Amino acid sequence: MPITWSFKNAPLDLAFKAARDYLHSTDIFPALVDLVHLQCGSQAQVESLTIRRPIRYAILASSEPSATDVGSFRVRHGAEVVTGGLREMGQPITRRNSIDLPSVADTALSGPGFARLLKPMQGCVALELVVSLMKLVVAQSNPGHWWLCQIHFDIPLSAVFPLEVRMSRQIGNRFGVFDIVQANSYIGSARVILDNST
Amino acid sequence: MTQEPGPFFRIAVPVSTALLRQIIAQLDTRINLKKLKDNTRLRDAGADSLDLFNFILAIEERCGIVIPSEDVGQVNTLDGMARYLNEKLS
Repeated sequence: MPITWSFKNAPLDLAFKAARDYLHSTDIFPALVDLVHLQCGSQAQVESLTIRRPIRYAILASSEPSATDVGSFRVRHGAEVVTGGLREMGQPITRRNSIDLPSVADTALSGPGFARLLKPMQGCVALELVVSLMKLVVAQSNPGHWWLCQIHFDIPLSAVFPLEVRMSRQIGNRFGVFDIVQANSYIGSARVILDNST
Repeated sequence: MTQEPGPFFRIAVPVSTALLRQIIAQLDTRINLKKLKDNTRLRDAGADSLDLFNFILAIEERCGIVIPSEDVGQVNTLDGMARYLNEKLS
């Protein structure tokens, strides 16, 4: 089914969370999902999201990606795939929510290179849990800053458990690749940059 | 033998810089291929950390090898990557 955007640029309504003064994937991804469902129907899925650097200003989703965009995303609807861009607008983000990512340290099973949640955590959506699990794994070997720069789903993420992340590849202390596993099946992957390298 | 790259083609020796350019062209990168000479550092042609990361992973996937962390410094130009792969794969 062909994907048709009725917009060229659509501002995303986003807020900082807790003390964080930048946006990351758990902020942007759900906003993109809402936009895509509104535009293309609920069968369309955001298949991937790429963020090239920390985003500190309000952003818009563009149906016309540009080489200067701060990120990009890909939408799939059946066999049809389209790419969009994320662009900083220069306006400050004025809203802030008090709650950031949940801590899964006490709930998850974890070991070298993996972390697993056997059941949902109340009030937390699956993507927040995925990123929190990655945070837990990264913290085992890299105490420094890290950020998730690319996430891709072969199968849409849903509230299915056990939910697990496994670091499948690490290049020095700079880059890491995670597999995302739900109910013991691979559903996608994420790429993270470690130690604040840009 | 000329290799015809599709999305997931595998690399065989000898690896040329032209072949590496084709791989970069298939990736979503900031690398300016017009600016990229064989001995230009990828960063100097516009690559950011994510581009370097994705380039290395794409090479690993297509060659069936792992590039160890200590070798990453050798593969930051097309010349360097081609030389490295030709040594490693032959």
